[in-house]
Amino acid sequence: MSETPKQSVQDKLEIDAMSVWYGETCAVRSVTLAINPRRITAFIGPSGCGKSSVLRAINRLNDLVPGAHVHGKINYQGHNLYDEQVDPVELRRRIGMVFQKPNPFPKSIYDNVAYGPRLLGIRDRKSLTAIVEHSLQQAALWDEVRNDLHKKSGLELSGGQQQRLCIARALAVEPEVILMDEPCSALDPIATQSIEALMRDLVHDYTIVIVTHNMQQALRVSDYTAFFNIRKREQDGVELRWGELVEFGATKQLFEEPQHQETADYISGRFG
Amino acid sequence: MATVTQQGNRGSLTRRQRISRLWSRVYQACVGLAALALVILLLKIVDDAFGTVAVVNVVDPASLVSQDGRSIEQQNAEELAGLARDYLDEEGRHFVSTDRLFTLFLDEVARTELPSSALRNLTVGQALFSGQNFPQKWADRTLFELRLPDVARVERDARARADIALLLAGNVEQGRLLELVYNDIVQVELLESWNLIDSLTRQDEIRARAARDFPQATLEFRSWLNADFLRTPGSSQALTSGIRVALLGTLWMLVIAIGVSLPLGLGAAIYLEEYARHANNHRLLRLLNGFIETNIRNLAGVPSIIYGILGLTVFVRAMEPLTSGQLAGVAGADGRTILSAGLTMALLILPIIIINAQEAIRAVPQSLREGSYGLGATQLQTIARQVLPVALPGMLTGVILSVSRAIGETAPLVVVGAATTIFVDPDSPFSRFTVLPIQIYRWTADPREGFQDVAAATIIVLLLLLLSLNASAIILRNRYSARARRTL
Amino acid sequence: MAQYQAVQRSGAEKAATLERALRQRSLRRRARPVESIVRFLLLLCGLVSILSTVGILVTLGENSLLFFSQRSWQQVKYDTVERAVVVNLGQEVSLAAALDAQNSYLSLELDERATLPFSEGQLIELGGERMRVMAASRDGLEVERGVNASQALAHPVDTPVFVHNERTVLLGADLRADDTVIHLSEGAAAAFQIDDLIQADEEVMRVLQVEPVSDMLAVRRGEEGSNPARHSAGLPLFSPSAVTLGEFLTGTRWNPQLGHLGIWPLLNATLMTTFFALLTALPVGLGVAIYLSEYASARVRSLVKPVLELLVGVPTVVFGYFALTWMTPLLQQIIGPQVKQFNTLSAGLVMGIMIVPTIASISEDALGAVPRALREASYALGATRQETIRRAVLPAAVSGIMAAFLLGISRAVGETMIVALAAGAGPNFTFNPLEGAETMTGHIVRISGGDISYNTIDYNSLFAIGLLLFLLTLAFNVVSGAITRRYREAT
Ligand SMILES: Nc1ncnc2c1ncn2[C@@H]1O[C@H](COP(=O)(O)OP(=O)(O)OP(=O)(O)O)[C@@H](O)[C@H]1O
Ligand SMILES: [Mg+2]
Repeated sequence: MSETPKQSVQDKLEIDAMSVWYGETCAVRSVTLAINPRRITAFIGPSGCGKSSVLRAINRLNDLVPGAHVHGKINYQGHNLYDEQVDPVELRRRIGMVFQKPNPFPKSIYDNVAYGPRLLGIRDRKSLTAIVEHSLQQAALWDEVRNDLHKKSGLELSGGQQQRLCIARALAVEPEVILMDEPCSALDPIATQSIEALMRDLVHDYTIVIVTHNMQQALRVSDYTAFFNIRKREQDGVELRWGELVEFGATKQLFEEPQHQETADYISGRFG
Repeated sequence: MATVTQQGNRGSLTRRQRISRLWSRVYQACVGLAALALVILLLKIVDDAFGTVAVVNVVDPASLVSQDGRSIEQQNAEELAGLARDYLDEEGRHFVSTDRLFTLFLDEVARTELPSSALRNLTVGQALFSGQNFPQKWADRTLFELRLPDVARVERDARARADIALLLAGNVEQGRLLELVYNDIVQVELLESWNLIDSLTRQDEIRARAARDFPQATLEFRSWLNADFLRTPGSSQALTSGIRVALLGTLWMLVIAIGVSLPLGLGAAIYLEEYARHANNHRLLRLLNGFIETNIRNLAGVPSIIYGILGLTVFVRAMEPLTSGQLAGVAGADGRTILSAGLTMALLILPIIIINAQEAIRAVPQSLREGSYGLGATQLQTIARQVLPVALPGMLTGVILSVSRAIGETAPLVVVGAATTIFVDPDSPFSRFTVLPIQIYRWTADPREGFQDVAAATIIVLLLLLLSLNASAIILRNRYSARARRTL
Repeated sequence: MAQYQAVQRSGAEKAATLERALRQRSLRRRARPVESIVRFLLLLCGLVSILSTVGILVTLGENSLLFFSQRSWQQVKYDTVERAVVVNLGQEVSLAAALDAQNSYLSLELDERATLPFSEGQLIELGGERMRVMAASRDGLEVERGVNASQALAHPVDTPVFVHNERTVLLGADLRADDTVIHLSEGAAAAFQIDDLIQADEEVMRVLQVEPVSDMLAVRRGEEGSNPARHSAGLPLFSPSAVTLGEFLTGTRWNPQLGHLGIWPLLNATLMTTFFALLTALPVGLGVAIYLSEYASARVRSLVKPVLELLVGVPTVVFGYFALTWMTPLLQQIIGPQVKQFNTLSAGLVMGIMIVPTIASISEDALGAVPRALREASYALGATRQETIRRAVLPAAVSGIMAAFLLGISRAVGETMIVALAAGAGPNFTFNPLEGAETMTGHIVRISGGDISYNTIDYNSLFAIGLLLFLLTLAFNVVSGAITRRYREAT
C-alpha cells in the first residue's frame, strides 16, 4: 500500500526458553524462537498444544488470567518483556491482538475504531476521523461501512466484517506487531480470502504472527512456520500434558522438507 | 406362564401409573397452595382496607352550622376560627387545646422552610404570618412564649380568645381549620369497623346490629386508603391516622442508606471482580480478597435483627455525637435518628448490592476486556469504558432489588428506632423517624378498633411501592437480557 | 486513483497524529498514580464489609461478655408462709363465703380502713391448696386455682388465708470480726447452700456449713480480698448472681430482672416456630420445585415463577399481619377457643409460607442439576415418572435439597416480624403450640423497641441472645453454602 515501509518495525521478537503455566499445570514448555520483523509467522499444531498461550504471552494478556504465569524471556527492542521495568499497557499498544472470535465493542463502528486513539489521548475530532477512515481502509472495510459509521453498532456487522473491524481497531493504534489467533476460523472462504489478502498487504508495515489450524492457509500466507506438538507423561497415576515447539523454519522448507517425523505426519494429516 | 406375568405386569403398571398421576396432582397442589396463600394474603389486605364503619360524633356537626345555615365545610376561615375559639379548652381534655393550636402555628411557619430548631426562637412578627394578621402586642413574643403564658390564660380571658381567633383566621388555611374542627370539636369516634366482604354480604345484619348497639352512630362505607391517609401524620385515632410521616421517613432512610451503600457496594464489587483475582497479587492480598468474598456471602445470611443490634450499639450509642447531630450543632436529640437508621440499613443492604453487582460484572464477557487491554488500555480505562457501561443495567437491577429489601425491612429499624409515635415530618437526618413497615407493625399490634384496617391500608401502599420497584427491575432486566441476547 | 489518493491522505494524517500522540512513549513502566489510588479506594470499599462483620462480632461478643461476667449482689430472700394479716388493723383474713372447687372468685370481708395484704401474682394458700392471685379487691380475689401442683378443693367459710411472702435474710445477731458462725432470722438458713458466697457490707464470706434447725451458718470470713469486719444485727445479706453459660444454656426461665436467665423459653419458642415453618415449607417447597423442574411447561413456569417472586418480595411484617389477623382466627375456628390470640403455631405456619419460595428455588436448582442421562436411564428401565423422580432424581439431588432445608431453618430462626406480631409477647416455656411464647428474635424486638436503658441486665441480655442467634444462623448458612458449593462443583 504505502511505498516506503515504516522504519520503526525492524526489531526481532525473540522468545527465549519460555514456559507458560496455568496454576500448577504447564501449558507449553521451553519455547525458543525468533519472530522476524515485517514477516508473517504462522503457529500450527494440534488443539491444546499451547499456540494461543504463547501468543497471549507475547503481549502479556495472560497477566489477566488468574493463576497464569510465564517463565523465560521475550526480548524485544532491547527489553525483556517480562521485566519489572516494562509497561504492559504500552507493550500491548505496540503488540496488538486479533482474537479467534470477533469481539467488537458494543459501540458504533466509529467508536470501535476510535477507541484506541482516544485511549492515547487523541480528542481532536478531525484527526480521529482520519485515523478511523484510514484504519478501516487498511482493513478493507471502509467501502462497506462508510455510510454507517455512526449508525451501526459493531455487533450488527457480519462475522467477517466484525473480524475486519477488529483488525482495523488494532491498526488504529499503530502497533508494530499484530498477533492473530485463528482470525479466520469463524469465517467463510471468501471472507477468509479477503483477510489473507489483507495480511499480505499489511506485512509491508507490520510484523504478523498468526495461529491457524489450516495448513493451506499457513502455506499460503506465512513466511515462517512454527510447529507445536503435545507431549504426555504419566506421573503418579496422573497424565501430564504440555506443548512443545517441535520445529521452526521458513514455511516452504518446513512444509517441503520437515526435519522431524512428527512434523511430516502432522502436515500430511497423519497426526494422532 | 407368560400371560400371567404379562397380566401381573399390566395390573401393577396401571396401578403404578395411577400413583404417578396422583403424585403429579400432589405437586400441582403444592404450587396451587403457594399461589392460594398469595391470593388470600392480598384478599385479606383488601378486605381490611375497605369496609363499613360505625362512627359517632361528640359534637353534632349540625349544631355547628352558621347562622345562615351553612355547614362547616362551607364556612370560611374566619367562621371556623370562631368555632375553634368557642371550643378552646385550656387543658385540651375535651376540645381544642392550646398545644394543638401551637402546633398548627408551627406547621404554618414550617412552610417557610426554616429549620425546626430555629422556630422556637422566632418571634411572631418574624414568623411570616401573612398580612400581619395578629395582635400587635404579640409581635415580639417568640413562638414558644406564645404557647405558654398567653395562650394558657385564654380560657379565662375573653380578649385573648378573640386574639386567638384573629390569629387563626388570618394565618391558617381554611382546610386546616376544618381539620381542626373535625378532629377536636366534632371528634368523630370509631365504634366499630367491618371488613369489605362482610360489608357487602351482610349489610342488613350490620345495620340491625348498629341500630341495636349504637343507635346514635352513623354507618358509612369507608376506604381506609384515601388521599388524606397519605397526607396526614399518625394519630391516636384510627380514623384520622395517616402515613405522611412514615412515607417521608422511608424516603429519608432510603436516601441515606443508598447514598452510603451504593458507592461502597459498587466499589467493593468492582474490586472483587476486576482486581481481586489479578494474577500477580501478593499472596497475602489474595488471602484477604478471599476472606472479603466469603465474608460478604456470610453477611448476606445474617438475620436482619442482628444488624439492628449492631446499629443500636454502633450508630445509636457509640457514634451518638455524630448521629444525634450534636456535631452538626443540633441539640437535644439522642442517637435514635434517621441517620442511624439509614446507616444501619446501609450495612444491611451492602452485601446484597455487592453480590448483585458482582454477578452483573461477571456477566460482562471476558472478550470485551481482552479486546480493550489488547489495544493498550489500562485497567481503569477498561473498567470505566467497557465493563461498567455493559454491567450497568444489571447493577441497577440489583440496586432496585436491594432498595425494595430496605423498604420492607422492619426489625432492625424497630431496634434502632423509635418507641413513640411521631407526628412531625422529618426535616433533617437528625430527626426522629418512623417508616412504613414500623407503622404496619405498631398498628397491627394495636388492639384498638380500626387500627388493623389502618395497617392494611398502609400495607397496600407499601406493596404498591414494592411492586412498582420490582416491576421496573424486571423490565430493566428483560430489556437488558434481550439486548444482551441480540448483541453478544 | 482518486481513492488511492484519499487513502494516501488519510494515511499521512493518521501517521502524523499518531506520531504526535506516541512521541514520548517508551516501553518503560510508567507510574499511574490515579490507577493505584482508585484501586486502593476500591479495596477500602471491600474492607468495609469486613468492618461490618467485625462490628457484629465485637458488639455481640463484648456485650455478651459483660452479660456473662456481670456479677450483681442481690439480697438473699427466702419464702415464708404466714397467715394473711391486714397490716394496720392486725385483722386476720379468712373466707367470707364457702368456696367450691371450680369457683375462681374468693370472697373476703374486710374493714373499710384495711390495707390489703394481697397483690397481683401473689401465691396464697388455704386448706392445702395453692392459688395465684390474678386480681385483688377489698371484696374478694380473682384467683387461679390449684397452682404449683396442688389440687383445687372445696373450702368452708372462715378458712384462714395464708400468704407466701419473700423475706429478706437478715443477720440475726451481731457479728464480730473474728466470729465464724452467723445467726440468721428464723427459717432463713434454708436459703443457703454450702460454698455459697455471702456479702455483708463490704465483706464477702463463704458458707462452709449450714445448720437449718438452729438457723446458723459456719463461714470463712474475708473472702475474695475483703476484710473481716464487725456487722450488727438486722443487716441484710447479699448473694452474688452472675450468669453462667451453663445457666444460660440450660435454664428454663427467662426474666432477667428477677435473675432468671435461662434461654430455653425463648429458644424453645424459636425452635417451635421453626419446626412448624419447615413442616409447611419443606413439603410444599419441594413439591413446587419438583413440579417446576419435572412437569411444568415453559409457559406454566413463566406463570408460577412470578408468584414465587411476589411471595419473596412481600415484607415479613406483612406476613406478621397476616398471621395475626387471618391465620390465628382461622385456627381458632378450626381448633377451637383453646388457640390463644398469640400462638407459635400460627406464626410458624405463616413463616412456612414465607419460606416456600426459598426452599423451592434452591431445590429446583438442585433438581435441575441432575443429569438428564439419569432420568433417561430410569425411564428406559420402565419406571413411571413418579418412580423416576423418587428413585433416581430425588436421591441424586438430596444434598441440594438438604442445603435448601438448612437455609430454610436459618431463615426461620432469624425471622423476626412474624413472631414479634403473632407468636406472643412474653417468655413462656411451653410445648403447646396453641399458646403464646416469645422467640429470641421477638424478645429482642420487644425489649429494644421500647425505651431501654443502657447497661442494664435487660440490655446486655439482648447481646447474649443475639450472639446465640448469630452463631446458629451462621452455622446453618455455612453448612448449607458448603453443600451447595460441593454439588455445584460436582456437576
Ligand atoms: N485460562 C486457562 N486456564 C487454565 N488452563 C488453560 C487456560 N487457557 C488454556 N489452558 C490450557 O492450556 C493448554 C493450552 O491451551 P491453548 O489455548 O494455548 O491451546 P491452543 O493450542 O491454542 O488450542 P486450540 O488450537 O484449541 O486453540 C490447554 O491444555 C488448556 O487446557
Ligand atoms: Mg487457541
